[in-house]
Amino acid sequence: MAKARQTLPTLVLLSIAFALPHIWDSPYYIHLMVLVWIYAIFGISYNLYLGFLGGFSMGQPAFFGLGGYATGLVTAKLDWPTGVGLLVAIGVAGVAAFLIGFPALRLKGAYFVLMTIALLGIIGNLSNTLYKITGGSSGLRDIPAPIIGIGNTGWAFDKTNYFYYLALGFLIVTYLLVQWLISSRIGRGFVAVRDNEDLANSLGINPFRYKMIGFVTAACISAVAGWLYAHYVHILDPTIFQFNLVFDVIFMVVLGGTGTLPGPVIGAFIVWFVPELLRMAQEWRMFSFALFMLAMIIFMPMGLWGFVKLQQYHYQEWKAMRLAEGLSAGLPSYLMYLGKEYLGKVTDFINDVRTKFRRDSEQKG
Amino acid sequence: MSQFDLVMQQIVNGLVLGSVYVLIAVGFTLCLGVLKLINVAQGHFYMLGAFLTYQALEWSTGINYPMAIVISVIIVSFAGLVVHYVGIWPVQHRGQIAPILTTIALAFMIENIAIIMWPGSGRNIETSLSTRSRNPFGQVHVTDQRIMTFIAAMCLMAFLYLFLQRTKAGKAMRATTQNQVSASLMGINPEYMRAMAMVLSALLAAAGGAFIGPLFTIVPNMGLSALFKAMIVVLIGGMGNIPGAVVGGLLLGLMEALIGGLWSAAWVNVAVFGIIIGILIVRPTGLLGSKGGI
Repeated sequence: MAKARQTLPTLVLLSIAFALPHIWDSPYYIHLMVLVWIYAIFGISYNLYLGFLGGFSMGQPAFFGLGGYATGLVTAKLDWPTGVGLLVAIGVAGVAAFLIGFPALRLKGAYFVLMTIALLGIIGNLSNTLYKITGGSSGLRDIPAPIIGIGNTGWAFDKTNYFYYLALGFLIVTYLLVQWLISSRIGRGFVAVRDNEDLANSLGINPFRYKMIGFVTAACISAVAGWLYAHYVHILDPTIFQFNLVFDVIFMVVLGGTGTLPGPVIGAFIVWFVPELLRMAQEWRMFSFALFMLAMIIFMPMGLWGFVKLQQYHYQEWKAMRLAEGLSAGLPSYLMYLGKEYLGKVTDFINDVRTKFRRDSEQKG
Repeated sequence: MSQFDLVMQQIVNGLVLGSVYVLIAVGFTLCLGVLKLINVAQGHFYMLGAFLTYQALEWSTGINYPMAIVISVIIVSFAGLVVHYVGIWPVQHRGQIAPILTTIALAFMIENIAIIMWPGSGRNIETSLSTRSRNPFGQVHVTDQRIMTFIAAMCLMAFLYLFLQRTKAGKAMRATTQNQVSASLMGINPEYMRAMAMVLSALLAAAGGAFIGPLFTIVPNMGLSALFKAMIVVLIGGMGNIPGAVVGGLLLGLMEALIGGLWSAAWVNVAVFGIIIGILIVRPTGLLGSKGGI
């Protein structure tokens, strides 16, 4: 029963996702949807490290960009097949994460944040300074579309609609892979390290090793997103290493729900579609988006998916209680109950503020 | 210009640039010490300080440069208070990451307000100080503005030091840094101390912005790179360590000016970030020791 309740919405959502390019006849929004899927993959990789290992990295786009540049260089300059480009991207990002992980993962708190910022800064600046290889600020051009076939001949994902399915396919594979990883022994190790590192260590879980596994896996998945991005937009320039992408990915994960699997996917929708909805604010658009993010962080600490889960949990609890008392437990009466509850919270808050101010003025006077 | 003069010129420029980094970084480290959080909006206070100085000079011809600095510093201090009560206070019991996120959102808001208010390709502040030039030794050129920036920054640091060491509020702030629970048992309200640290750090960053305005073109997106400079300085000097931040800021300024002037301007950032990674690998708690406290 519980399983059926989960399977049905998943199937409905999946079929909508697959049918979308045929029912939504707007090239611009399909283009945005491709970016949403790519960002969702990127968000999943970031969430793997932030949500399940508790490490706050500000350098994840370094691996996204490394993957993109690696595949861009080998496919555009050396004419290698795009499939090989994917392997090169994953390999380069994985090796880079492994090398930087040795010093970085031993650092704690703000020092780790600094290390990841320095990593992003150095890679971003190198992409600009080594202009003979990367094309500098004018960018790495003519990155080909992914091709299925032998060598450089075969069927190409050269239309937005085709690429949509490629990105969606990669997202589903990544999602299932991370779901499997999280529910495996390794994933339980991650959560143990996140919740209490010393305790995990004393139980024979080597925190450094688990962090390294998580860090490298996250980097590889980021590189996959970078590969998709590079072959979708066909041009890369150093702006992808700018901090806007860091902030995008952080907010994607946090607004969607840190440490939950669907969180980053929901977050990718928020990051791409809320600014679209705010178009009427014109020049105040980014300002109002920042305001929206601020409100979300303050009022929904667990993100949108966490909020939904919490409400569901509250409803189940309330329903069980009502049924035990032999009362009706429909949705309308629950909403009535919620209304009363929130009204009470608001009055409590007002009273709190009033007593606080009274106390302050008494102290001063 | 001989090689020696070139080096001396870069050292002078580096010290001036470094003194501005000191102002931003000391505020940042104060926040880190008292509030135990990374304030992402710190660089944006600096940007706002520079633009408000420009705006105050535009408002009326009766306002001269020192008055503009005071006006801008007061407004930005108030902005610091707003950031504290809107962004940090509601999430202060929610761990390390939530305040970083709220300050990122607020920094975005400040930056977008600046983009709307001062559109175009940046502004220059013109003062009488920036045109006159002196030659203290050899062929080295130093404008009065640069001399004033360095001296004023060092004076502000001296005032801050006296405030923290001699006044009651300063001692209370140091106590809060060391142990919040004991401090509140001694009758110190940590809430006030947090707000005060935030205002102080906004004030220092705004002063830095007001001094840098006449030296460089100011643009709305200069806040973030200033924040990273502050982080690097704090890394060199140690977290929450104010004398360390002063030394670190001057060192960073010197380093940047020397690399940029003698080697290649394009490689400055690569070299600086490389040095950070090097420091973190060799001494993971900062170059000048890890002793907390201010």
